[in-house]
Amino acid sequence: MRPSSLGTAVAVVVLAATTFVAARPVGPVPALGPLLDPAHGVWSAVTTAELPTHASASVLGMSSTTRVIYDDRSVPHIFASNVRDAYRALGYVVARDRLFQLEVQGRAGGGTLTELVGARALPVDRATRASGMPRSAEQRYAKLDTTGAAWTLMQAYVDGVNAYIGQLTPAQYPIEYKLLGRAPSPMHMIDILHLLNRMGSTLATTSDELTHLEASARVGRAAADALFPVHAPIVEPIQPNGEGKPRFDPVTIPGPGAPDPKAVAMLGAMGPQGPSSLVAFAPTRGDDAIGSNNWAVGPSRSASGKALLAGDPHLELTLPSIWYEVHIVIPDSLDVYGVTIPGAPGVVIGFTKAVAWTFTNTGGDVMDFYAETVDNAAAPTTYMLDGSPKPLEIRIEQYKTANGGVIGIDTLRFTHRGPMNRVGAQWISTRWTVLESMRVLEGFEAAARAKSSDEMLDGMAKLYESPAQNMLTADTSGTIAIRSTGRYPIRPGDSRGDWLRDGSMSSSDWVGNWPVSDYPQAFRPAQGFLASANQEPLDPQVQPKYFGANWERPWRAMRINSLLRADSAVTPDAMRRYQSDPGSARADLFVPAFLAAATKSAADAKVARAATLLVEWDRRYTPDNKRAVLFEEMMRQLSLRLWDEFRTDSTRNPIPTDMMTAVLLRDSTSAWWDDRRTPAVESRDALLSQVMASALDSVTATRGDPALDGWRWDKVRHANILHLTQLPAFSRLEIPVQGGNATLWPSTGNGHFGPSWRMVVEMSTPRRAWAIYPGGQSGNPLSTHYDDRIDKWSHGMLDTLRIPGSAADLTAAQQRASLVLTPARGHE
Amino acid sequence: MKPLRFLLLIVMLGAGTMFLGWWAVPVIAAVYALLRRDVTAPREAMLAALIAWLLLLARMAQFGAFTTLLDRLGRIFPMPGMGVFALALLLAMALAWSAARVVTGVTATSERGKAR
Repeated sequence: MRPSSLGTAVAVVVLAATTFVAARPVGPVPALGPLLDPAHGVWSAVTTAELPTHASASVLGMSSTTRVIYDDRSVPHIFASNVRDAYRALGYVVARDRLFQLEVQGRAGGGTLTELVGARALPVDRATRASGMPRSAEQRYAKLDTTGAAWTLMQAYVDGVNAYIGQLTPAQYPIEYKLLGRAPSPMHMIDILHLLNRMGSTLATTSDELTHLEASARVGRAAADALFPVHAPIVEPIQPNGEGKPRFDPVTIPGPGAPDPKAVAMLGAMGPQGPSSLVAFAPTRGDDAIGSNNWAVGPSRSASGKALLAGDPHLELTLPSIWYEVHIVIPDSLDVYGVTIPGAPGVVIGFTKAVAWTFTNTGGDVMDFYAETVDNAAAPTTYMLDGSPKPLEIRIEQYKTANGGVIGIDTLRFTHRGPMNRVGAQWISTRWTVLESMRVLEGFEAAARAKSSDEMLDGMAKLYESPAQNMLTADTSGTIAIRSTGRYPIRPGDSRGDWLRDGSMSSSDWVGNWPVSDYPQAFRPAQGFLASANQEPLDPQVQPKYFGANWERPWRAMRINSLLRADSAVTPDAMRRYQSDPGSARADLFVPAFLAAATKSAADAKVARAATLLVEWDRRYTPDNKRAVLFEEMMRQLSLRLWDEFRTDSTRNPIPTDMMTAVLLRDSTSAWWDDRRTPAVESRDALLSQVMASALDSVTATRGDPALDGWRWDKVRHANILHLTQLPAFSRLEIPVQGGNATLWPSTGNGHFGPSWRMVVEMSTPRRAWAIYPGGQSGNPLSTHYDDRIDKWSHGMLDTLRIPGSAADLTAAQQRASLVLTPARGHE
Repeated sequence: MKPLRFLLLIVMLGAGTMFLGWWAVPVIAAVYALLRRDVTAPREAMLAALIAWLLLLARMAQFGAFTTLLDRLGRIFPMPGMGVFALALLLAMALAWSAARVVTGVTATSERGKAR
């Protein structure tokens, strides 16, 4: 039988079509051939889902055999003979578990995501490069001392990462690479600087001048000053002021005034793009879900007589988690346990045999904006400084795909202050400590070797610059201490950094840095405990100098201080419970105000009903609570109606925080209470009553009868932990949480932010520690250790950490896997 | 279809995929058709590719994470996880059949030309 010509023609078409879809990506679908290949494609990801029980590898530069034991929580314990080998091993084990994340985070900071994921990342890369971070990393990298300790450790870490990458076969590439149709790129030392810059952008983007500008353009400068104040009106500082309770400072808030003409003109010049474009690189977030809590209890107030420390940084929740748990042991030299960030050599938060430490974000103002005068608004080459034109540094940025194709070109400009970006018709330059930090990792290395709290904090004060952190420590001698460490600029004049400055004068420039002696700090406080929750760190009556503005609301700080004041025999388990405490200082303040207003509208059945439901609420955000939802809707509607003057068509409305609402509660007839959109002139109590009634209507309409389960808090608030690719299949969504707006477990907005690493350490001998993060050690979505900690995390529980002094300290049942790293043949 | 020859073809397709990649399937199928010079070659190549990839996938299915993978793939692609599994087999079959069929057609045409 002869084959038909038609059949041959059909076969040609089928062959062409299948070869095309097998070899080339079509839209978002990667090339099907390598993807579905049963030997190397997506299927082979199952072979690396779990670590082999025993493995070995040779690593370039490794000087002696280094042993890694993974415990039953999949935490690697690295036993090395010297620090360089330890960092090589650290790079290797991090890459082994988190390779895709490691590359993504470095690229995100370097503005080269397009080279991994294609043109869809172009806007993100453009914003990153415009921020000046990649340029800053290049400059700092060029200035690094190649004979210094930081260089050596960075090189060792990168060697470890690249040793792992070099041993991979395509079948072993992480599944994300297979879905993208890419291969892992080798790590470069500068990627470490990119990552650190990225952390700086998350934690130290302080654009208060932009908020003030927009507020002044709406309600005048006096009102903007009062509503976005330099000092928080509710004072519960990090550096204890000896008052033993929060203080409400008397504040007068002038009513809405006429728009400030200068601010209006500036905003007009910026056009619809708006000033927020200047910080487009920074993550958007909801209220205080990014921030952190930490506290420590001295021997006088702990049940065991030992110092206790609790750390709880709130960051973006991702899968894999930003944190990776690790333990490094070098006999008689180093023994540090904690979490590292994939791509950053060293333990960032953790403890040694002598000291435990953790951070919260300080939030001091370390970023300033300057309105520049340029020679050519369309394509400037110079900017004016003290009456003379100064040349701009021009930098051409190219954005490429994985195969090197150029998909975008930008021209970036820099003044002596930093990047200069165009907003509408206005050119604005930025000065930012994050772009100028020369110290990289020395602080963390010093922390891991410190023998006491004082030594650790003094080392950090010398070696750490940015992003500024409230560094809290506890040690075995019983000392607890905190210092807000970082570089804080001093500005000329009143030193305020919350107003856009004139860039045409060098007298607008920073004139120095705060001395360490002026940093917010406390060592061995008389009250026996310390706490920070991103609140204003200094009591303005103690230190009135400008340190920042529009501080984080005080509710978490008030709550944790209240819990610690009430407990004179704190246990580690109490520390754990406090981390997910469902109480709310915010609710404690606002609920009585609502109820008092309701008594004046008793004739209104709906207000009375809302008040009855509110009385039933225990002011706790437990998952089964059925009343928190009503209060939150009241607060949402109150903000909408109270601050109606600020709500315009702008994409960025500066809304005062509910700390300012709390201040305003004391002025029942303030003009702010009037909702200008209604014909009546509302007073405080009228507005609160109206809000109660409309909130009840709203919640009932969406969730049914108040007795129904639709009102349960776990039907309302969730954590949503997205995978780095945003793929829902690799994400964990709608996880119940025991917290809400301004609780110690903050959860607001889209649920993408929250507690990222909860740790409790007792500085006894031997050390005892408990911790958890929402994710798992493995970055492989197919691994049983990919998200195995989330359920425990969502219930507020912690794991007991295993802290072996040597490999022999772990029983066989406690060992999950082992890895032996040996020197590569032909090298040292 | 001789069993030994067919078995050898399966082994070649499986080994080719393992050591060279997916593109070995159409190449080996084409070479097979060229050597076989029979209208049954495309069908045999298709069947052998199906079995070869099925065996390779069965090897992967030994791992505990395989069901997790199917579940995840089912949420990434607009089809159930088993659909993606079937798509892989379809791809191998289509590549093998079409490559072998094209060669069979071309060689037959060429032989007809010579005969004239």
